[in-house]
Amino acid sequence: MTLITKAEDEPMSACNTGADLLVQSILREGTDVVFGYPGGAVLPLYDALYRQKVRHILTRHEQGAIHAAEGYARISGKPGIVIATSGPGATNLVTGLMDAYTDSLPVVVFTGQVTRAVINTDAFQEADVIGITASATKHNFQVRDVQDLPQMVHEAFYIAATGRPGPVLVDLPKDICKAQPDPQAEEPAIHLRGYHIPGEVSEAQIRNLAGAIEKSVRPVLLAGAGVQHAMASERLRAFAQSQQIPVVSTLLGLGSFPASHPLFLGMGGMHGTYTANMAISECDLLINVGSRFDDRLTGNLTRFAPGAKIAHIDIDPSEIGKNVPVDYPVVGDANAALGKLEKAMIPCKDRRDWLARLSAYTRKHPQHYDDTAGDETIPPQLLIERICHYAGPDAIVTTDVGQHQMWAAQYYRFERPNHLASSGGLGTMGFGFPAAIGAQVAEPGKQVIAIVGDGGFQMTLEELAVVRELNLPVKIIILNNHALGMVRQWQEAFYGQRYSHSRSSFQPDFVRLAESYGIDGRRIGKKADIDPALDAAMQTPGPVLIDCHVRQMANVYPMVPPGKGLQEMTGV
Amino acid sequence: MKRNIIAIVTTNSGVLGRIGNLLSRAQLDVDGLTMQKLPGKGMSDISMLIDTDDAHKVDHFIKQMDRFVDVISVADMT
Ligand SMILES: Cc1ncc(C[n+]2csc(CCOP(=O)(O)OP(=O)(O)O)c2C)c(N)n1
Ligand SMILES: [Mg+2]
Repeated sequence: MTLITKAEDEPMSACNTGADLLVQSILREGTDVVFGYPGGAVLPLYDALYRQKVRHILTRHEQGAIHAAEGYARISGKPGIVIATSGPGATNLVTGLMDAYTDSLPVVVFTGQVTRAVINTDAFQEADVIGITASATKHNFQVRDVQDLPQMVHEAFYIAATGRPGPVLVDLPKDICKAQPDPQAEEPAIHLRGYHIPGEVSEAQIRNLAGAIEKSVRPVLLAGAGVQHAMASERLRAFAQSQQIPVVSTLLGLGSFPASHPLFLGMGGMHGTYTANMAISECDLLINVGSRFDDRLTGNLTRFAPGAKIAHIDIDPSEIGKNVPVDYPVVGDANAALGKLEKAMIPCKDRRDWLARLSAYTRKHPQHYDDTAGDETIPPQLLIERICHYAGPDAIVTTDVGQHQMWAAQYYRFERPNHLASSGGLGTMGFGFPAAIGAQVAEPGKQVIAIVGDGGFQMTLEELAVVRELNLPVKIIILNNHALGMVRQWQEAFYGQRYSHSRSSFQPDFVRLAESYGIDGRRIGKKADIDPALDAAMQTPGPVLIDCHVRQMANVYPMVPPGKGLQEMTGV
Repeated sequence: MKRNIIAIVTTNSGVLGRIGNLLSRAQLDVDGLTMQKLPGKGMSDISMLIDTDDAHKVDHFIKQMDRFVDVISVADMT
C-alpha cells in the first residue's frame, strides 16, 4: 500500500501533464474563477493550479463551492466552475448539482476519480460518480484518454451554457491528470451528434400565437426564469407595454419585469398575490414565457386557468405539455420568440376593462401583513421592506429556503433582471449564503445581501471563513424566528399545531459566531433597531451579519392550501 | 398496450445508465430491451418494448430521452 502511494505521488516536475492541459482548456473558455476543495485524487490538478494563474476560491465544504458557483452563474450568466476530489468530495456536490439542474444553471464540475486501473475495485475514495450524478446533471462523462481532454472540456462548457442551461460533470481519473499528452495542434471542436439546440423559432408557431393574442380580451403573461436566462427582459417589457398585457412572475422570474411597473401583478402561485392568481384564473389567454408550470405555481391543475387558452414559449420542448396541455406551443429562446412577436405587429386591443378589473382586486386585497404586535417585536415582512429600501435597486439578493424566502419574494421589490438568486425548484436549504459569495465574486462592486433563515444558515455557515478571508462585503441578514418556520407554519395549519421538531430549543449566538470569524455581528429585536442597523451595515465596506429576531409565529400569507386551486387562496 | 421505442445513440455505456434511470423514474415497465452497435461511426441502436396505456407518459418519456446528449434520435414506432 505504502509503495503504491509513493509511486502514485512521486515528486512531479513536468508541467505539461494532463492536469496542465485541463487547466489550459478551462482558461480557454474565458474562465476567471473556480470554486473548489482539494483531495488525493485531484492533487495533480491542484499542482497544475499552483503552476498556472487561475483564481481558485477555497470554500470550506464542497456544497459551499457548488452553491457559490450557482450564485456566480445566476448573476453573471457565465458558467460557474467547481473542482472536488473523488468519493466524498464528489458526493458532497450532489445536492448542488440537482439544484442547478432543476433551476437550469450553467455549472461545470470537475471531480477527481481514482486511477483507471483500480476503478470498480472499491478503491480508497472511489465512488461511481457518473452513476450517482446521472440523474442530477444535464450531461456527465469520464475522461478515458488524456488526448480527449481539450475537446471534452470544450464540450462540457458548451453543453452547460447552451440551450436550456444546466450542470455538466467531468470525472477525471488521477492517472489521466498525470499523463503526458502529445502536443495538439488543432483547436477543440464540438462533436455532439445527439445534442440538439432549438434553432430558429417557427414562423407558423408565432403566427398562431399572434392570432390568439389579437383575439384575446383578457391575456396574461407569465414570466419565468427563462426570460432571465435569455436576457429577454427588455423585450418582455416592450411587448407587455405595447399590447397592454399584465405580467405575473414566478419566483425565479422575479426581476425579469420591474416590480414598480403598472402592468406588474406580482408573483403567482402558492404564496403569490391575490391579483396575480386571479389574473391566471380569469384570463382567456395565458402566455407562459420560460417557466415550467411548477406545482407551486399552478396549484391544483384541474382548476388551473380554467377558461384560458395556454401558450407556452420554452427552449426545452420536453417542458411543453408536460403539466398543462398547451394550445400554442413556441419552441425557442424567449428573446428570439418575443422579438418575432414584436415584428408580427399585432394590433393592440382595448384591454382597459381587464386591467381595471385587476386593479380593483389589488385595491380590495392588497398584499398586507399583521403589524399589531407592537414595537418590541419585528414583523419579518417589515424587515424585508426596509432591507429593500436601504439596499437600493441595484443590489443583488440571495435567499435561502423557507418563510424568509417567501417574504423576500413578496416584499422585496425586484426591479432588474439577474439580481436574485434563490433555490426555486429543489428548495435547497443552505443555498442562500454560499450563493451570495458567488454573486459577490461575480459582481465585486455591487451590494450583495444574503437573506437567510436561522435553520438554513446553519447548514452552510462554515463559508463565513471565505467571506472573511476574501473580505467579501456580503451582508448576511438572518430572519431568526427560532424555528424551521415554514415547517412550523405547515404544522400549525395542517397538523393540529403539533410542532414536531420545528422550534429550536438551542441555537448558537450568531453574533459571537460571526465575531469568531472576524466579521461584524449585531443583533436586533425591536422595530426601532431596524433602520439604524441596516443603514450601518450598508455603509460598512466589509462583511456584516445581522441576527434579526423576528416574531416566531408569523406566517406567510396569502396561501393556496395544498390541493386547492389558485382561486382558493386563504389569508387574502 | 405495447409500445416499441427505437433510438439511435452514440455508443457509450453512460447513455444506457441514463435511459435505465429514466425508465425507473417514469415507472415504466420494460418488456424488452436491446442495444446493438451499428457498423462504422460509433453509433448504436436501442429498441425498447414498453407496456403502458398512458400515452402522455410515453410521450413525455420520449421527449426526456431526446434531451440526452447521447441520444441522436428517438421515436415511438408502434
Ligand atoms: C436541505 C433541506 N432540508 C429540509 C428542507 C425542508 N424545509 C423547508 S423550509 C424549512 C425550514 C427552514 O427554516 P429556516 O431556515 O429557519 O427558515 P424559515 O422558514 O424559518 O424562514 C425546512 C426544514 C429543505 N427545504 N431543504
Ligand atoms: Mg427560521
